Formats: sequence, structure tokens, C-alpha cells
Amino acid sequence: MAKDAFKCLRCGNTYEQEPDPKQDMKDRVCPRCKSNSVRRLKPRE
Amino acid sequence: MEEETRIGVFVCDCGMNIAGSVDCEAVKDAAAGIPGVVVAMRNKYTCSDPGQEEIKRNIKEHKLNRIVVASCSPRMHESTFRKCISQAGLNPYLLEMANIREHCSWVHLHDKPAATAKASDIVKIAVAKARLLQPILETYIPVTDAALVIGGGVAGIQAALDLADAGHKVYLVEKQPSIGGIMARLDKTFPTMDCSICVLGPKMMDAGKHPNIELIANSDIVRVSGYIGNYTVEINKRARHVDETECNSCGKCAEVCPVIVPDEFQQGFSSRRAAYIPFPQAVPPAYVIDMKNCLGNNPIRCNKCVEACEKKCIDLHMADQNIEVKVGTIIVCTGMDVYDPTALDEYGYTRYENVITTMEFERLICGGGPTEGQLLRPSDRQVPHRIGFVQCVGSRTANRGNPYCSNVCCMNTIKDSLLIKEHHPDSEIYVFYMDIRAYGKGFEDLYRRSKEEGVHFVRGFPGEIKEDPATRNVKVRVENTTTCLVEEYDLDMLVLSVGLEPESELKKLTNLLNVSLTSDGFLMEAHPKLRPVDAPTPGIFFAGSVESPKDIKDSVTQASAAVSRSSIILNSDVIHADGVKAVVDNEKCTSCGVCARICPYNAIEVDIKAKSGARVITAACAGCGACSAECRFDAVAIRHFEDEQILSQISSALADNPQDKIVTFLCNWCSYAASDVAGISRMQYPANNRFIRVMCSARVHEKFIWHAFKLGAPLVLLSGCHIGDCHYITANHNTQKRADKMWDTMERLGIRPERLQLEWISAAEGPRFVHIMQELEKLRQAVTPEEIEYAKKILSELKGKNDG
Repeated sequence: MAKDAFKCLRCGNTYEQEPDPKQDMKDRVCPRCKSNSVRRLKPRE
Repeated sequence: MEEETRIGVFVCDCGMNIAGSVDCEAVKDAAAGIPGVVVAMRNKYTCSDPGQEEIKRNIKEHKLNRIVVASCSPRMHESTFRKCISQAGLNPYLLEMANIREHCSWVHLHDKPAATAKASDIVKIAVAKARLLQPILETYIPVTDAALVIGGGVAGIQAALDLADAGHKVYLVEKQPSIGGIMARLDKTFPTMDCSICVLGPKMMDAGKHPNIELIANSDIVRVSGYIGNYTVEINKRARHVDETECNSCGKCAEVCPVIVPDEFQQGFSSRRAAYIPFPQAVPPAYVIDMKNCLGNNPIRCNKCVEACEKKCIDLHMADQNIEVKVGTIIVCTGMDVYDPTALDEYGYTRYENVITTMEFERLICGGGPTEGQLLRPSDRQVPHRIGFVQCVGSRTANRGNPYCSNVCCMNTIKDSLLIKEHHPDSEIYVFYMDIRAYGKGFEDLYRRSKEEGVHFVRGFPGEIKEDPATRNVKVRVENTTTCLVEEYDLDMLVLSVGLEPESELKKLTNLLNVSLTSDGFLMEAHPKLRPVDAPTPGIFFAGSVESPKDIKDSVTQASAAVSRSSIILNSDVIHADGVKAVVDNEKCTSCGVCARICPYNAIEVDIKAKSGARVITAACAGCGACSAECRFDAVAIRHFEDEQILSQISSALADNPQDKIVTFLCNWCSYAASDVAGISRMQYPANNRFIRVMCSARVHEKFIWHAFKLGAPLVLLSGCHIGDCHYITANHNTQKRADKMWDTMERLGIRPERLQLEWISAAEGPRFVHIMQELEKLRQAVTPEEIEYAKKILSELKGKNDG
């Protein structure tokens, strides 16, 4: 399954995460610094 | 002719709370020099009677028409000062508060110059808004004279009875088939040692028979809509499969029922049938069919209960019932859960039969219990003579369990120890504890009595618990921290004094009611001291352990307090509605329908085909402002949080040294509350932030953020409630989407997206708020002057997008 890519705008961490099949909106949380300033980048195959 | 703006600024010392770390005289002098300020004064305590009289006198003497009070959080005293200025003839919405205590003096205790400079800025920002404030005529909303009480434990029963006795209609909704809650399962209560069900039973009956109370048992809340004075609540009444109005509790259905399952009321120590009554004193006094275990209504398989019921009140085809009620207020009394120690394997609860919990002990020693009040240990039904209690199981621990004190366990154990002594005076009882908390009326006496009766209190927690396979006794090794010796106890039975925790479905209920939780998972009060039974959502109150673990007396006290607060609303024919509402300018409105689509309350109607313009249903509008921020034509304004007012605040915040400032938007309910918590807790953080309060983060229009960058802000923080916790249901989903959109646009414009930060901060997260403030200051320092200048230049060149 294609993963969503994210970048934390506080610590610069980039990471991938599987998209939520329910499409529910949830807090985006950087796994490294716990910031919510997380930007979704272009989906990657 | 336009009225001249005459602003009065009142700077409060708050004793030394503000004056201790802010030079209030300098703040007052700075305020006096702001254009439009006619008078600037300093008070020792502005909220006191003399302080308020000073404001009223100055309004009259100087013909003031806008007031700024620089003192504490508006969440604390905004209503006080609104009342004060309206008594002097001003519209209450012509007040703006400058929070120089929680946002300044308390969080910059050791840097008076920085705190003073920040306080002056806060006042300047408040004056900038005050200058543009407009009077708002409050609307009046009719009140439905009925209340919903959710939860039928002792707090809910008390609340329902008090309201009903005061003449109000009450809907008492209980999840279980009977009211009674945890108190119905207790043997005795502390400190009076009276029989729990003997105290509660008559109250349960009164609630069940009261003409003003409609008891809706075996039911769940499905949906809540509306607002203070006018809530509509949908309730799912689960099929009981027995007509509770006809059932006379003869018990013939249970006699013939072939299904035997553990009886949860007796903690699994005895059994019941699939056709059962929860306990003898149950209200409503009717049987219920447990369809999970029932063999079904196939006559070949069973159907015995239907045949046995002479009154023909069993209907195995009975369907759930959807009930809708209209109420003016809601009191939440859903209580708590008892901690399940299964995860704490070291206590051997799942491995050793003679290790039990306090709830299990209650049933074992209760006259109505499985042993009819004979204390017998589970493994061999012999009387235990050496009994141990381990305190704080699942409480006061940062690891597994809960970090808070569960408040009742110490006294419950002391009560239990005396009960054992009553039954068997020669028994040996050992209580392993950290410290005994006997703080209430009569508690210390009970503790002393317990020691006088020979109960041994051993300061120390068991390090090892093992079972002797031959005797099934429990061997406990403890480091006694009083004697500094490792001691070993051979006990017949060990009781785990388990703590209390939030009810498992509380989170779901809070989403329905739009109320918040504290970090402990219990309900959050509107104010911990001044409004301890009010939820932040108007018209919703709570009582009992849903707010925090508490004993019966405190639960009952809180229930009556909640009733008193609720009655103020129910006794009114109409109530004032908050003036913060959306208004549509139909000359600008294109009837595109975006506002109606995103409104979480369906408070905007638009006929897109007729192009007749959007219409706000004022009573339903909660004032979040999501509509205003999403409207591309500036056709929707939010009264008291208008675009011009917020833009003016931003301009004022960045008037001097903008490169040093971080513009922070705080939502009223969560992140602003968290900033207050940081202040109250005296947590220190850098003084560079300039806060702008909005009701919801969704109110923050893109143009506010562009305006801040255009004026040279290095960093902007957009903050609000966590997703799922938004006070305005889903309004903050728009905030996330807007931030995503802005980050893309910033990148396209060559502005680093990192300069716009987004954080969800709950009202309980004061420490997290402080951490974010500290991190933001590091980010601010990394923004170069060239970057700031570039953003200013490019945004000035663009028209339309950043025209704030």
C-alpha cells in the first residue's frame, strides 16, 4: 500500500505512515519531537 | 456623527501577583500615551468592590466608552468586568481584557524588564482591539424546563431527586438495567459504618416513583444537539425483553431459565440466570433477559421464561427503542470504574485464588453477598484469620496504573479492617501502605479506632507475593520502611485496595457533549475553584466521580451543587445568549454555500439556487468563526472577533521590534486554557510571544497570518484543541486544512513553511504549552533578517492575498 510522507516543520524529521483507511482526521504527531506542525508531502509509491 | 473613542485602561497589581514581577506604574504610563486612551489607572485589586467602583466612577467622570482591564485571564474575570461596566451603562462587549498575570507576571517571574515590556505590549494589543469594539445586543433564548441526568449512581439519584423536588421535569438515564451504581455493591460506608444499600435503597425507590422523574434504564445517550436551555438528546433504550411496567418481580422466569452465568453484581462469586434481576433492591424492580446468553426464543430450544411468565410481560422480540427528549440542562454523573489489577502480575491476582480486590471483598463480607455475610476465602471457603491489604494498587504510579491518588481507598481499607474485626475479633490484619490519607470529617477517628482494635499498619509495599501450593496461603515479603527490615507475612487472604479510574465510555460521552477531559481522564471543570461543577459548555454540569475520584458524601454534595447551578437556568423563562455570533453581509455574499457546508452546527442556511444569500440561525450559532475564515468574499463576520479587530491586534503586537516577536493564536477553550495553566503553575518560558485569543483556531483567517509575515513576524503559531476534542465539534479540522494550504503557498512564494507552526494543546497541557514556547523561541532565532525582509517584500507585492 502506498504510504503517506510527512515532514515535521519543527525538527525537520521526515517519515512515512500508512494512510488511515477510515480517512478519519487525527492529530498528526511527529514521532521524534511530538510536534503537530507536520506537513503532508506528496504521496510516494 | 461618529462617536469619539474614549478608552479607559485599568492596570491591576493583583497584590504582588502582577506587581511582584511587572512594573505596573510603567505599564500604566505606557498605556496613558496610547492614542485614544483618556485615562489610565492603577489598582491594587481591580476585581474588588473598590476596584470596580473606580471603573464605574471613571466611566461616568471621563465619559469612557471602551474599557481595557489589564489583570488576570479573561477566563477568570471577563464576566465580572462585563457586569461592572454594564452597571455603569456601557454595553458589556465594550470591554477587552489584557491578561498580564497568567500570560506575563507569573511566567516571567525573574525578568522584570522583559515582563514589563511584554505587559505594556499586551495592554497595547488590547487597546488596539478595544478601539474597534462594537456594542452587541444580546439575544434571549427560551429555556426548556427539564433536565437530563446521565448516570444513576448515588450522585445521579441525588441530582434527579433534588431537581424533581424543586419542580423540574427530570430524565434520569442509566446504562445498566438498574440504578444504584457502585454504592449499591458496597457493604458498609465510611466513616459512619452504616449499611450502604439501606441508605441508598430508599433513595433509589424515591427516584423510581417520583412523578417528576422519568427513569430510562438500560439506555445509552446517542446524540446531543442544541445549546444551553435547549438541548435535544437522543437516547437508545436497549431492549430489556421484559415489560418493566408490568413485571412484578415474581422471579418465575429465572426459576425456569436453564442458563447459568457468573453474576457480575456478586463479582462472579455466585451465578445468575439469563433471566435475572440485577439485585434484590433494583430499580426499576423488573427482570431483564440477558440476550447474550439466552438460548433464544426458539420454542424447540427454550422459551421457558415466556411460558412461565403469568403476566406475559416477556417479549423476546422486543426491539431497542429510540427516545428523544428536550431539556434545558444536562448533569453528567456517570461515575467511575474500579481499577482492574490484571495487568499488575506481581500481585498474583490472576494466579492466586486468595488474592482478591476490595470490590470482591465488599461482596464477600456483605449480608446480601454470595456467602450471606460470612467472610470466607475463595479457595476453600474457610474463614481467613490473617488478612493483608495492599494499598494504592493502580494509583499513584507513573508506570502501570494511574498517577493520581484515588482518594477513597485508604478509608475504605480502614472500614474493611473494622468490618473484619466485627466479624472475627481475633483476626490479624496487616495494611501495607505508602501513607494513609485520612483527611475528612470523622476519618482520623476511624483510623485511630482501627489501630486501637489491633490492625497493623506496615509502611511498605510487598516486593514479592507467592502462594504456598499446600495451604493456598499467600506469602508476602515487604520492606518495612519504618523498621528498615525485610519482613515476611503468611496470610490466608490478600486484598488489593484498587483505585478508581475514569469510566470506560466517558470519552465517547464527552465527544457527544462537547466537553473536555483533564490529563487524568476525568471531566474538566469550567474553573477549578469558582465553577467546580460547571462544564465549560454552558448548561452542562457534573457531579460525583466523573469529575475525580470521590466518596459518597462528596458525590452527594456535588450533586446538590450541580442541581443548584442547573436550577438557575431552569428557573429562568429566558436566558441571555452570548453575543459572539456570525453575521452575514448579504451585499458581499454570493450564496456559494461554503459557510453552510463547514458549519459544525448547521447554523447557516443558504439557498444556492435562489442566490438569496446566507442566513445565520443565531440561536444555533456557537460563534466558532470557521465560516468567517473560510468565506472568500469576506461576507461573514464574527461579532467581537471581527477581522479588523484581529488585524489591528496583530499590527499592534508587531509595531516595535517585530523580528523579536512570535505571533501566537490561542483558542479560547484549549490552548488559551493551557497557557493559563502554565501561568497558574508558575512555569517559566521566554517572553517573546504575543498572544491573540480567538474562540476557535478555525477563526484564524489566512489573511491574519499573511498580515503578520508582512509586518515582519519571524514566526506564527496557530494553536487549538486536539483533533476530536474541539469545543466546536469538528471546526478545527478546517484549521489543519488551512495550515496545509498555507504551507504549500508559503513554499511556492519562497517563504519557509517552518515559519508557520501548528500545535494542538489541550487545556490540561500546561507543561506541553511551555515546552512549545521554548522550542518556538529556538525556531525564531533561526529565522534570518533576510528571510523576514524577503517575506515582507513579496507579500507587499502581492495584492489580494495579503491585504489584511
